[in-house]
Amino acid sequence: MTHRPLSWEDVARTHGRKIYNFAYRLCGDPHDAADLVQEVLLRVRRGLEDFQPGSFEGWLWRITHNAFIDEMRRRQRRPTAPLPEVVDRWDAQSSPGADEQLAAMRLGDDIQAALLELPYEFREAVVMCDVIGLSYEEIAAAVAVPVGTVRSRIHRGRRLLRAALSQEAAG
Amino acid sequence: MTHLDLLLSVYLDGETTPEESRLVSQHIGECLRCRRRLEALNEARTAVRSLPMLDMPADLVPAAVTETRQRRWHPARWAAAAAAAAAIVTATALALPDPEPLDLGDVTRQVGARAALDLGANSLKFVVPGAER
Repeated sequence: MTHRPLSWEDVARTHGRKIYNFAYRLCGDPHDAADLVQEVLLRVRRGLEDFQPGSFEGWLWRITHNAFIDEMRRRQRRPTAPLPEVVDRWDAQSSPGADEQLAAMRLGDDIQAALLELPYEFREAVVMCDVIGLSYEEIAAAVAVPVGTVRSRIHRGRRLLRAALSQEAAG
Repeated sequence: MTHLDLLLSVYLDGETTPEESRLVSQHIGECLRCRRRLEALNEARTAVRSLPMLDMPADLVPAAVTETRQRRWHPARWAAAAAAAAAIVTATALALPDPEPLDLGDVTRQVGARAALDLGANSLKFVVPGAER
């Protein structure tokens, strides 16, 4: 039985939507997200001939990660501002009253806004894990960091996110 | 008692080793603080996972066929381009010197002189010395 080689159209069909959502959740802009999908698909098209059978997901998300980093560097708009004041209060925000308010305020816009407040590395790890559904190992391969770093980034990202959502709910 | 921190997120994602899983399960059964932390982390995790998967713009994939990257233009970019074009036209108009008033009399004289020259050219004869003898 022979297998037809993977084409970039196959990649667009099977992964285009995921790449778009990854980009949108990272940058919050549909036009920038669409530009990134185009850039990724172009890189996939150029790279498919050299792709060796193996972890296609790891290869694809590494391309996506690199394309996003390049794009952000090009535009010099890479957000890096941390929220240190939120880190120290995340436990204090876990009161039952705040939880109820948080549940009522959990709208997509609030969550997206809170995501955009995260430092880039944390946001990327959280989006890869909770939006795209990649494993820690796949994220580590895509971002080229150890799995331990992925663990830390996801955890710290969630802590900041939880604190930011609690603040929005309380405010 | 040593509280857990990073392992709680890893535990939520099912990415702990069997030994770590036993440690977390045992600890959160005894520690209210870590159990609340686990719940808080799970709320953040659930919030992000509840975000809807958006549809990709329909015209996106065909546009990626072209090898030369063509950026998609949206209304804001068109508006910026229109504003830039208008600015160029205005700047050019301001930079050019005022045209001199047109003297119709001069034009008439120039046209008349050119017509006379043309008539004269038609009546010229090329004379080769010795040919008409």
